[in-house]
Amino acid sequence: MKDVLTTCAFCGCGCGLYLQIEKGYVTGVTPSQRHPVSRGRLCARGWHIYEFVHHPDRLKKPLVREGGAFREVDWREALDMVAKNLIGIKDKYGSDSIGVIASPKCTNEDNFVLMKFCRAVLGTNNIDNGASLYDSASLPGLMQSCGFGASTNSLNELEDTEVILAVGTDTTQTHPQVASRITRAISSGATLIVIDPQKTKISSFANVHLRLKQGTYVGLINGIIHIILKEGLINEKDVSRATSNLDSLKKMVEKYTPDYVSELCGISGSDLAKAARLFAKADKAMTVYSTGATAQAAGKDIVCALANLALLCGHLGRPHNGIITLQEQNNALGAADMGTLPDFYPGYQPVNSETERAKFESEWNTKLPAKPGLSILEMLSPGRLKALYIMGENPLITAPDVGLTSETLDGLEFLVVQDIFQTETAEFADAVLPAASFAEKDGTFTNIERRVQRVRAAVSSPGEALPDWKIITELSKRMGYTMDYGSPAQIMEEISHLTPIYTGISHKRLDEEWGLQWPCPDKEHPGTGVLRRDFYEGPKAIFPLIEQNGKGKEHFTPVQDIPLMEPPDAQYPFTLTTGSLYWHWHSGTMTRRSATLSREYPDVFAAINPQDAEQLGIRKNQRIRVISKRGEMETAAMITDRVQVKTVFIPQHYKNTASKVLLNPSSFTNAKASEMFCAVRVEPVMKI
Amino acid sequence: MSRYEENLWIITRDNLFALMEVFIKTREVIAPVRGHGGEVIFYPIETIEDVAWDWQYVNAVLPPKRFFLPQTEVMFEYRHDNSYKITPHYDDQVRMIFGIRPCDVNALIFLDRFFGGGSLSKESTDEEPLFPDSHYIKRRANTFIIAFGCHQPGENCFCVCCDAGPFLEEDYDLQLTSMNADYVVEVGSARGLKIIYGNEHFFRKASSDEVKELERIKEGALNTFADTCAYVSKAIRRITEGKVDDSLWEELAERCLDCGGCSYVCPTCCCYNIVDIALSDKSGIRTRTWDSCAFAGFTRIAGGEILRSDKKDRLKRRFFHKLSYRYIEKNKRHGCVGCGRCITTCFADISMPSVIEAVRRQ
Ligand code: SF4
Ligand code: SF4
Ligand code: SF4
Repeated sequence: MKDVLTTCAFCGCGCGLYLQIEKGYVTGVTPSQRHPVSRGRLCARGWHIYEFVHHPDRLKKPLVREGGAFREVDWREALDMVAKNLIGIKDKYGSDSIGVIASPKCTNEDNFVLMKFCRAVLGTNNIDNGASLYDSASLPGLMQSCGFGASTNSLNELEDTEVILAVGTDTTQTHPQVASRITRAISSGATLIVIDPQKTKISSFANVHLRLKQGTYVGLINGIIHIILKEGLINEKDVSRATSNLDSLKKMVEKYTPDYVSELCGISGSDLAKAARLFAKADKAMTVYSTGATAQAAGKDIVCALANLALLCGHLGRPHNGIITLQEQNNALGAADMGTLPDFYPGYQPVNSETERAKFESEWNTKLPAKPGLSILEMLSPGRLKALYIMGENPLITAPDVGLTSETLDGLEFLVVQDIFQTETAEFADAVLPAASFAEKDGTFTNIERRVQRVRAAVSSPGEALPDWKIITELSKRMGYTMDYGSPAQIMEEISHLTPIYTGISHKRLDEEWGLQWPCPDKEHPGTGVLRRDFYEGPKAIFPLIEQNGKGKEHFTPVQDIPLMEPPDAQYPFTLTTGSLYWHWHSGTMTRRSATLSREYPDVFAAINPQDAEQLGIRKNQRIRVISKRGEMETAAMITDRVQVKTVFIPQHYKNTASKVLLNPSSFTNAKASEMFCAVRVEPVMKI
Repeated sequence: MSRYEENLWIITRDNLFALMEVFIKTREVIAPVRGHGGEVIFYPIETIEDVAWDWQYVNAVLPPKRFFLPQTEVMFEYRHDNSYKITPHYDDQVRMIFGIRPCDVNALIFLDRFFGGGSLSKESTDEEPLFPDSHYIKRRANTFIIAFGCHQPGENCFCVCCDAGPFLEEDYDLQLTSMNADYVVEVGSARGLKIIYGNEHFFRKASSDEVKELERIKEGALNTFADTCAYVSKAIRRITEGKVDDSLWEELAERCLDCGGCSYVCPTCCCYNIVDIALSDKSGIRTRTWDSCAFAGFTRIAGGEILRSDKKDRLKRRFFHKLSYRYIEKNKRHGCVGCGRCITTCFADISMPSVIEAVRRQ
């Protein structure tokens, strides 16, 4: 019996926990008491994370499609078959006919190796990771404004700040560790401003809750900026010293007068002014936001607007002043850091820069493609690709349109899915490769505060399942390119060698500490808790990249509001939104197999406001029909004032939810961002 | 008064080390050890050097409860071909828990009554258990316990208010207390005495000065506790009489994050769920896993209805169970042993001391 310290894989907080091992099985968990994030606490997901590990449904052998059914084969046969088909497709249609989807659930090492395989072996930049479905906004948004596409500060700083601005986040459900820091801050006198159409658990603590109409975030934030400029509340010193482009911001927000904004957003002008003054006058203030803000077409604009606001008031780049982006997947940031993005190499080095490309070409000893690749939504659109390689993702459940996604998967000549369970997506595959879970492999995850932390193998994998990186290297060998890694620690050596923000990071160092926060530019560097202003200035600008993106200064990026892609109308008067429940995670593949977690909400439901329920004559648990222009689904009604009037909320984690049938396909055609909203009608299945 | 009372012994540190090395060879020895970054966890040791000898720490976040009731255990395997065949799974590992603190020993006695009908460290139980739990009883019988008296209670400890520490008075095998460079050994059971007599060359009888010194150490430890303790009985009375206003539970419910940690880290909480997992059409395993009254699903009944769907009712239930006189009478002791773990683990600072304090203020 031994306990193995590792990192929780059920959200971006990245709690430290020990897996308890008895006779080769994980039998429980112990929270780490001194870990800077968990501090002796775990949420219900963390406490039960071990439950799926030994589930009998785990994939144990590679599967190959034969006719309509799968046949179990050995690794040699499976890998030979995958290699042959990928080579065939590459030769026949070219490299760019193949796409790769990486996973924010897998380790940095897994993602790095897959990224290298995609670029160096398949020869394409068509790679993206599943987190881009919810948040393709933070990276470009924050990078444009602040130079880095990640949270600027650490989670523990929330406890000692004065004002917290929480935007589009149901924090207690998605990021319990962050939520508890917010409530602690409130206990010690901090002020909370919430911008969210929904009532949430944290909004009950808010001094101001701006319950705006869905789709009007940018207008509202511009409205706040308008008031701050008008009342002269900007932080003159910081603004003149460290920012550029203020004049165009001023011009942009001119039209966002309190009257205009309160009409647009459906909120009171005095609340708006109150929020503006509280935020601007605070000495220390932090912004947190989540998918409620990012999972829409305007996501990037919302992030830019929030960055504008923080910059204007000097709430960025100092301790207890900054922006925290709450990515839901445990390694969403790490997957992006590893360059599982169509336009970046690891460490956000652009693929279209000659110098960066030359560096990777010489290190990897091969020619690399220059043209940025397709985004995940483009790859999942019908007809774009001939073959798709998916690692640890279940787009059939998580992408916004199940109809289009299945059409795409159906139309592929070749699909490989590498996962721990036979997912809904894997049902379409030509080859299914069994992978090791987080409890069975070594590596690292990077949490939402840029903390790179160790993941440690505690038990052996079921059957013949292998770590993801191992599968890829075996495949790569068969395709004529050898990647010789003895262990994930060696992969990390290559990562740190090629990635300036990871230069000082090694497994050995991570083992000695509670992880390291990037940027960590050398072997002695203690890691970076606060991305400070002076990174961007003069001689201390440590990375050329930041100068390049931030132009040496933080940059105001004026944005204006755009309407929802499909606003409600007379025929479809409700707005459908989707999101996460505390008890489940992501596509539910793991949490639905945990007896304790799935007991809370065993089935999908649709939540509506009591006012609407009364009007439509719908009672609790009654079967209702939710209908959009594209389809309909039947489910049980939950009645709660947490959702706004004329809004329906359907959680995303269930297999049989057709919520995605209803969602807006224009996110596919529109381009880079998926929008988790659409217009629907609600009616009881049977009138009572 | 224990009949082993007169038996106070002294063991030197070197002898204790030597004795423990003998035990380590013959059984699994669990002790508080320093994990990553110096945090303390109960863990099987390989050498006696592994033990966190300074005893200066807040209680390990998980009590040794898991060695008697693991978070998950397979209870039996089943097969049905023509008839059912059930194969029980038992943990027959011989163990010793070394360095367990008095609060945790008292919590074990609480579990003994729940699973076995009475204190299992005594030779016979007080009453026949209604449903003796063979899995627990076997583990308990295979585990020998060497407790450590707390001459320096941790900062979150309040065992003294719950009659569960800082020293054991009964229901133990051996209790060690550090005295100068050596350890005083109190013997609390025949099993304990057997260890002494079986290894007599390691021990010597305590002198009368040493007996007095132990009394002084015990007095000194008592004086280190904060005095908010006095309100425990007030909380017991008000909760028993139903005089705590619901507004208290409502207020706490706003912050609770349903993590279940309060039950999981609590050494006396022992609710469990039974989960059958089919391994094939014809076979499977029955497992039990820790469960928590903090979860709404805990009271889900057939048909989907949830009896305590309001968080405030679940919190009320938790503290009623821990503090109401009805349960104290039934369990013959407090449902809280004052270990302070819920202070560490609660996201919302809803700990036993904070609730007792809130009841007082109400
Ligand atoms: S807060 Fe996140 S990382 Fe921590 S235990 Fe819960 S799911 Fe895991
Ligand atoms: S209620 Fe809290 S202090 Fe009391 S025994 Fe349980 S965990 Fe320890
Ligand atoms: S530990 Fe605290 S937050 Fe967790 S369930 Fe218990 S009372 Fe709620």
